[in-house]
Order: sequence, then structure tokens, then C-alpha cells
Amino acid sequence: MMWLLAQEQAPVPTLGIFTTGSVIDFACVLVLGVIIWVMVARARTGRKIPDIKKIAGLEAVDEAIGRATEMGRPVAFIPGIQSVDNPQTLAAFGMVSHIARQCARYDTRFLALNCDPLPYAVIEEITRQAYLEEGRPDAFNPDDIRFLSAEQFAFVGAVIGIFERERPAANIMFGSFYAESMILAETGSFQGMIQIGGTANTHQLPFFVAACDYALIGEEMFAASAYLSKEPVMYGTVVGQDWLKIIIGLVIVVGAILATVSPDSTFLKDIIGGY
Amino acid sequence: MRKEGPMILTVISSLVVVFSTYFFLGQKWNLMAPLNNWFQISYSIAMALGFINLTAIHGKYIQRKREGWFYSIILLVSMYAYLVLGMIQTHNGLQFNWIYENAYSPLSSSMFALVAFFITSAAYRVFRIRTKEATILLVCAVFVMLGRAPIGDAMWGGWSGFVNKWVMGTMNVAGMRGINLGIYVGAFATALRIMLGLERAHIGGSGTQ
Amino acid sequence: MERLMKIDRRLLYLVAVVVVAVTVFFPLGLPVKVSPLAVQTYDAIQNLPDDSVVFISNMYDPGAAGELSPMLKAMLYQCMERKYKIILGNTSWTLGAGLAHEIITPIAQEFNYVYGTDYIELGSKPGGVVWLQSARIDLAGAALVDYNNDPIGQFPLMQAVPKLTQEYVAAALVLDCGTPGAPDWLAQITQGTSMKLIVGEIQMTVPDALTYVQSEQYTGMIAGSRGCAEYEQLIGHPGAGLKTQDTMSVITLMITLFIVLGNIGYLARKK
Repeated sequence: MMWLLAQEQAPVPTLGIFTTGSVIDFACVLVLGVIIWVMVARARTGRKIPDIKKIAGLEAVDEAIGRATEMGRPVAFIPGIQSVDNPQTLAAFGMVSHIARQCARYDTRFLALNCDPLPYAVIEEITRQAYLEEGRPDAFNPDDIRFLSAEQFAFVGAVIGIFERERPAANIMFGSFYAESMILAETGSFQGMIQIGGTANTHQLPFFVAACDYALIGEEMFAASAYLSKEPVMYGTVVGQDWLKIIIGLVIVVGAILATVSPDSTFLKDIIGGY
Repeated sequence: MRKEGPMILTVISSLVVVFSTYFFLGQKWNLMAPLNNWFQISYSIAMALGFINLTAIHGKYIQRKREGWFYSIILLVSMYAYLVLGMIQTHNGLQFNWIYENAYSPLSSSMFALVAFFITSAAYRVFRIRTKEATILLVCAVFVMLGRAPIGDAMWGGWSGFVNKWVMGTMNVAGMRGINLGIYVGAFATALRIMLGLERAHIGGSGTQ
Repeated sequence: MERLMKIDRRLLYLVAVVVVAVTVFFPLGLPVKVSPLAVQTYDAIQNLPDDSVVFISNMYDPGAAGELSPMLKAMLYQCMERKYKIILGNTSWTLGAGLAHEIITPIAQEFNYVYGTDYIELGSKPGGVVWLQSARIDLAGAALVDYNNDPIGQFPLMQAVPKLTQEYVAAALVLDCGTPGAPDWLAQITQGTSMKLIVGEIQMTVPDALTYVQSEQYTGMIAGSRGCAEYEQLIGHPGAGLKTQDTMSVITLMITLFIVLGNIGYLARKK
């Protein structure tokens, strides 16, 4: 029995080598790669690179760590609930490096609470390295880097329990969050913690904005690594990112004008969609 | 080689993914399949590491009779018992399914239901007429809430239509598109930074090249 | 008056519990107006060719089952009334497989659907996005066994659907609450093809998903529990979606009241 809806066609490469519909995507990859490389080259030769605007949430990270140090209580860090294949988790690793270094410097306890075993393994290594680089390998406690559960709400239950028992003074949530974000943020708020929440999941942003002291919206997370390191080479990559957004914005404007002036024309759609 | 090894592996894997995604030959040869298998295997190994971590930490709590150590016993017993049961019976087993349906599933749903209570307390605490922006946020929130529940239409017949068309369908979509554009370009740039070796935080580096 | 600003949150929770309990036992029976989006979704499924194969993907776990299981049930009713062939499965949402099995089994019996010929359950497969890519090329190779661990090659339905492509599958109905989810289905399976993608979303993810509906990448969307209630009315099978609407109404009024009280206290303190 067959329910063929259409005759199956063998896939045909576009422009001889590309898969169907991937030429424009690949062009974007190339354009961004070139822009980033140019900016990095400029930074390496000492030429001026534009600065990143002040991001309140990132400025507050050091403030949060300082507060925890004064109160003698730990800093809690949650890198989201997704695995290492998620860009937000990768962005969180840059944040971990900075926070772990600060905690090592000020002898503040650093609690990293993980929902996935892969980020747990990576964060343990990053933290160990950070303590080593700060000359405090003895202060590193592997028991403070914890894998709690791979299940979302079991993880939430465990984190709430840790918040109640360990009473961190600062809670930094940075990564991919889902429904648990509200529970974590509100619990932290009840405990009187200073909270910084950052996620690129737009459906969770309202909860972080409502319940956290500082919220990082979307792309501010991806600039965190560059922002905290303050290295011109990393700034260059953020500038490249902004240039790509400008190019995309221009394409949108041109498309909007074309759609208004000539609604039946599919010129731009054919170029972008056809390749 | 401790840092260079993972770096080389990252770059090669990234190039394989790029080649498979954008180039016809890559898709034809299905190069992603072995990568996927290796990811699953490494995930399972990492899961075993997670088990060891949990066992070590809670074992210490039990040994030192730390406050709440009884709960650590419950955690370890239930973790290993369910693991062994699953290995013996597989997911179709009677007892395995019973525990899933009558313990795990209701617990998970109940935790999700907690979100409703926290939203209530957050809304009460946060929605104050402090600034112009906060007032606009408050008014929009109340409009959308009432528009999404039948009570809004009971008060004014056009409420849900107004919310769906203008608030959700026009203002929300415009804002979402802008935020999403920034997010996707940012994620793209992060991935490219890792591919080019500029970002090394994930291999225990200082975060920069 | 200033005390209105500092109502104990435990009192808020207690009022919420009482309000929900009362509406469960004494429903208000408020009518639910059907939106154009619900009609669009219903029509998208209803107007598929006769004898179509649809892939229903329950990409959720028990946490989101309260909102998404009624949608799954309603979709199954509509698909089985239209006599579509159904492949039910997901990737990476291991705990969702059991939920889907409990829902489809009695409905399949009601419509005299034969397992393996009219419908099949693949269960949950690991791999996420990569599984979808593999299934697009070779569905049997990607799935291997069904929910009961039987090799799927023996089933006529799977013999007739070798790939997850537009030539074999008319529509993908994806119930989505996280990652991997509907956007992955869009990127890997349906984008640029004639396969329709119809989604069911929890209320939290509706604002984001609306962008895809407007750009016609999603052919239809069941938007949260309100959308489910509207959809249930259209298919003529009232269920849990409709039942929860009165509770939604009362909770919404309660939250609005608390916000107003809090602001009265705030303004009184400002004076």
C-alpha cells in the first residue's frame, strides 16, 4: 500500500555543490566570518575597535560577587538546563570562567548547579583551571560543582532545597531556561538574593525581568564573554555581529519597500528563497 | 596538547557539521550520523559521571550525618533501584511503568503547576505603577490576560479579537522578531568564535585567545 | 492602605487554591469565542488529502502534559475521523512516549484503527535534530523499532513511508514545549517543502510561535489552553481544554484584583 503524495525527486545540488536552500545561509556564514576576521586583525594590530555599551547585568556580576563575599555566603551559578550543543550553554562557560576567577580571588564559595552531565564536566574543569590560574588550587572544592538531575523539575526541586539550606547571597542564572526559570527566580527573590538572569529563550525573559534584579536579554548574553574579558580581539567579534545585523536590517528595509511599492513582485523572495 | 587536542577536535567537528549542512556531498554521504552516535555515547559517559558525582556528594552527607542526611539515603536508594529496575524490565515493564505513571508523572506535573503560584506572587509584587514604562507594561499585561480568558469576552465581546490581532499579532510579533534576530546572530557569532578558536572557555581556557 | 502592598504570599496562594477548587466543582460555563487562528488550524488538518499520512510528534513530557495532552487527544480525534494514517513519535522527549501511548490506545480502539496499518507508535528516539535529519533520509533506519521494541520493517504503514518527506507525509503535527521542538521540525523537515507544519504550543511559547504563523512557516497553531478549548469546540469533542477555561477566567480576575490592591497600597504610600 502506498500513499505517495508526489513523485519523489532525487535531490539536485544548487550551483553544483550546495544543498537546496543553503546558499544564502552559507553566504551569511562567510560574510560574518570575514567581518570577524577583519575586526580581529584590526585589534591585533592595535587599531581602534568600537566599545561595547554598558550592560547593567554584566556590570552587576562583580557587585553580586562582592556582596556574597561581604556576607560570607556562596555565589550560586546555574548554566541553564540544556547540554553543550546549545549556544547559550557555551556562552555560559565564558561567564563561569570569570565568576570562578573572582570567587577564587576573594575566597568566596562558588556553587555551580547543573542539570546536564556534559556542562557539569566542562564547568568542573573550567573552575578547577580558574582556581589554578589564581594561585588557589587548594581552595577549589569539587563538591561545590554539582550535577543534580537531568530531569527539569527534579533539578528545580534540588536547587530550591540548596537555596534554602546553603542560602547563597547571589544567584546568577545564565543559559537556556524553560518553565523552571520562574520558580528559581521567585525562590531566589524570597530568599533576598541578588539575582542576575540571562537567557535567549524569549518566553522566559518576562519572568527574569519581573523577578531578577538584573536581566540580560538575548544577545547581551552572547556578548558577555567579550564584555567581561575586555579584550579588543573579543570586542571585534561583537562588532562583527552588529555589522551582520545591520546588513540583515538593510535587507529587511529593502524588502519592506519592495513589498509596499510592488506587492506582486517576488524578486527578493526568489533570490533569498531560491538559493 | 591538553588544550590543543580538544581545540582541534572542536574545529574538525564544526567543519564536518558545516560541510554536511551546506554542501550537497556532505548530505549525500550523511556525515552527521557517526557524529550523532559519538555524541550519544559521550552523553551516556557523562551521565555516568553525573551518577558518580551524585553518589559521592550524598555519600559524604550520609557519612557525616549532615542535616537532612536521611533524604540523601532516599535519593540514592530510589536512584539506583529505578536504574536497576529499568535495566531488568526496560521501559515496558509493569513496575517500571507503574512508578513512572503514579509517582514521577504527577510529581513533574505538580512542579510545573507551582509556576502558576509563583506567577501570581510575582505579578502582585512587580506590577506597580512606578514609571511610565511600568504602567504601560501593567496595562498590557492585564489586557492580554483578560483577552486570553473567556471572562474578557464576557465583559466586552471584542476583547480577545483586539488582543489577538493588535497586541499579540502586531506589537508582540514585531518585538519578538527584533529580539530573535539579535539572538540568532549572537548565537551564530558565538558558534563561529568557537569554531575559529577565539573562544576557549569551554576547554578550560581563560575565555579568550 | 499600605498593608495592601505587603499581603503575605501564602494568603495569595491560599486564595488561588480556593478559587481553582471552587471553579472545578462549580463551573461558570462561560462561552469560549473561537478565533480565526483556531479555524485556520482546524481547516489545515481537515483539508489534507484523503488517506494522508500525518506524523504527530509529542515533543513534551509530564510537566507540560496538562496543556498539551488535551491538544494531542483532540488532534487524534480529528485525524482519525478523517481516516488519516498516523505515525506517532518524538525525539529526545523520552518521558512523553508513555503519555502518548496512554492517550492514543483508547482512541484507536474507538475508531477501530489497526496497529501497524492505520497507525503506529515509534516511541521516543534519541538524537534530537540529528534524528530528524536521519529520518528525512531513512525513517525506518532512524527509528529501527516501535514503542513495543518490535522491528518496524514488518509494519505495512512503515513500509509505505520510507522517508519523512513531503512525498510520503502530508503534515507534521508537533506539540511543542521546549527544545527540540517545532522550530527544529521546521528547519530540518518542512521548510521549503509542501509538508504542512501544524503546531500545538503551551501558552508561554505562543508569543514566539506567532512569528512563524504570520510568516506562514506554521500552517496553523493551537495556542495554549484557550486555543485547545476553541479547537475542541470545532472538532465537536469537548475535553479538558474547555473544562479549564472557567478556572482560567477566575484566576485571571484574581490576579488582576491583587495587582489593583497592590497598586492602591503603593499609591497610598506614595502620598
